[in-house]
Amino acid sequence: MGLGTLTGDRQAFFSNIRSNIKTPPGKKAKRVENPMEGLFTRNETTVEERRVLRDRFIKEWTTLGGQAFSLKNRDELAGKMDEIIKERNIKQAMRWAHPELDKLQLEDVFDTAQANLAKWPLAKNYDEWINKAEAMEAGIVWGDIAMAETGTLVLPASADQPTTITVLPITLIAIFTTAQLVDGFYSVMKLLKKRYGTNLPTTTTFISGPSRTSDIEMDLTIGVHGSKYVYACILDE
Amino acid sequence: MHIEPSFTKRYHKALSDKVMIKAVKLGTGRLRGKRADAIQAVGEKRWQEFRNRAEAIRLHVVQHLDQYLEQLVDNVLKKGGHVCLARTGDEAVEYIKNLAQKKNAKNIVKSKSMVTEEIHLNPALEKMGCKVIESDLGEWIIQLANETPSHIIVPAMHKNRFQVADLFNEVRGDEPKIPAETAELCAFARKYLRKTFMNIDLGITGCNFAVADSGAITICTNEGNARIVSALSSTLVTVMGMERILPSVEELAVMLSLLARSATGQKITVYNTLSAGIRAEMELDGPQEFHLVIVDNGRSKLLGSKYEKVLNCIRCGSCLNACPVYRNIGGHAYGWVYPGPIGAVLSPLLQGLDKYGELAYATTLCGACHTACPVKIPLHDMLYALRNDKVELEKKGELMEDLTYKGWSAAFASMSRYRFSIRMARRFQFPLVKAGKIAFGPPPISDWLKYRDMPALADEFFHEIWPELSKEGKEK
Repeated sequence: MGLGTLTGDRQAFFSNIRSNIKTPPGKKAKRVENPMEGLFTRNETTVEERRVLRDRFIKEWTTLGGQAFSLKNRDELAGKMDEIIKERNIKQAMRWAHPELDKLQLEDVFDTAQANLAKWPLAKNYDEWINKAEAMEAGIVWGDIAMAETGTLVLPASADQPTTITVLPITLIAIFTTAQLVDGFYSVMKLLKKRYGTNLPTTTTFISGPSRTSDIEMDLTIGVHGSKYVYACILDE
Repeated sequence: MHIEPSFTKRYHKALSDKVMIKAVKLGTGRLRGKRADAIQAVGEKRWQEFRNRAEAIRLHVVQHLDQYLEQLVDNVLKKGGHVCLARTGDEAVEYIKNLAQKKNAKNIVKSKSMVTEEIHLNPALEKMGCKVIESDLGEWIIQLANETPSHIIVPAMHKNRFQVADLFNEVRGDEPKIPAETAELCAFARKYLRKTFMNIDLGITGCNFAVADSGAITICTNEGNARIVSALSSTLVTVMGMERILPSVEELAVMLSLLARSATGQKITVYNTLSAGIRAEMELDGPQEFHLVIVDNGRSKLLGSKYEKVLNCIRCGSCLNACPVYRNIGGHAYGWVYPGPIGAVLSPLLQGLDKYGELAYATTLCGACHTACPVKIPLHDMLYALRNDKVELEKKGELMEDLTYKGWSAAFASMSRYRFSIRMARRFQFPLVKAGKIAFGPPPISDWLKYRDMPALADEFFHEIWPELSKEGKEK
């Protein structure tokens, strides 16, 4: 990856800022150490505690307008997926090429339901994949991190985990285990820092429920741009 | 010289628009209620801790803006992005116009960005033949109506669904009309705008917060339009006001929690997207070319000034919902891009006190804006300071007012002069008094009396009866 270019007079731009900041160095406000400390819960959790977080996540996600299910094993997941496929009348869906999703053999569930599940990438050429992706009725992702306090999925993107799958289809299905659950922002940001340092993925998306707007007469309407139907399937770890 | 029409004419026009007033009262009332519920859920004590922390974070950032911006610029360049440092709005517009020309961009899709409103980007791009589509529902509505946003968070707050239906039916042309039902209007917007997302030549977004140490840009939307623009634009431009920056994701967590609760009463905005650099090898979506345009446009002159704290603003709009003036006149009466108390401060500071100084009087100085502000900007103090600055600027103009205040100042500066003045005023007020009230008088008293009652001076003043009263007290 090459370096980008800079337009504008860097020296003049920053000298102007520096000369205007008149506060003497000793009197400037200090950086807040541990800015999140005391504002968010920060529990190191056990398996049992994560089951409590699962219930919290389900409550929050449902309040936001999504549906969430606690599932014991792959068989229960298969049954739930079949229900969702039928409920939403899904004929074609796409999914992340994530190793955890590979293990779940979701293609078999779709085959049985006489629907098609395509694994990313759909095609290499933009014109080809964008048209295919636009026609997809559902996108399936692995919930890499799930924040219980707000009912939020945290999804780092990569070549196998494109944002497009969560952006275009009207239905979003996230599958994850209770091991992915953390309590709140404190744990999420610490986890991101531990995993990536300052070299964040190209895109990290925090998704909390379906797309919504109140732009017309403050009347809440679901699904104006992104997903209208959002499902979280949480497997017991 | 203030802009025309004057603020007085603008708010008179606003006050006569009953549909708008009703819509704004409904909208601001709901947002205030939701914010109050969110604070109650967090707990007042914890909420104040959030505010204190956020204020400290923003204060530090603004006083170290050069350092964090340099860090951001270096990190964006390192990740293959391009950066434009625009000292003025014109420089920013010129850069984006050149890029649009280079890319032969016909279809430009935008997500909500107040700073692009500020630099008048859309008209400049449209003038060169580009089709610019706003993808946020509220922004699209006002784009169709050829208006500016009337609220920072809900740009089309002033419109009702019947007006929106009229606008959408115009877009539909000969197709069957859609009814003024919110769900159907939104469904139409989804279908129509989805087509534009499939063919983006150039995507433009705003920026809620840039993160200096990772070169990331955070965009928060409830609709999800901005992330569609980011994911599907091979060339993406992000325009940011230069103060919209944070040191790391840890500070970001605090701000995202405050922003959502203050703006709409949500615990978190539905979509928060952190984008860092261009698409990586093997990635098929996301921008192949990324341009970050950092706009000064008058902000640097606020650094180190008594107005420095206005740069702490995170554009949540809660000061608008709290303000009794905004709630009664809506956003357009403020005349520029930013409405409400934050607009009344920012407009004269960024556009000139001579043009927008009148807005310093668009306030009751009740301080509700300060109480509502998540980063504790003393907006009411700033409005008061702006009044002083305006008086200084126009000192030579108002001779009568100048003499009145000079006389007042001289009388109140010494006890004996004050008591003498009071005695004289009481003696000579009788021709003006009717039923215990001052009924008429010379300007500026006559202007005051048009809208308010002014009681006549009392027969006895408290300081005159106090010696007697104090004696009585001692005797008891």
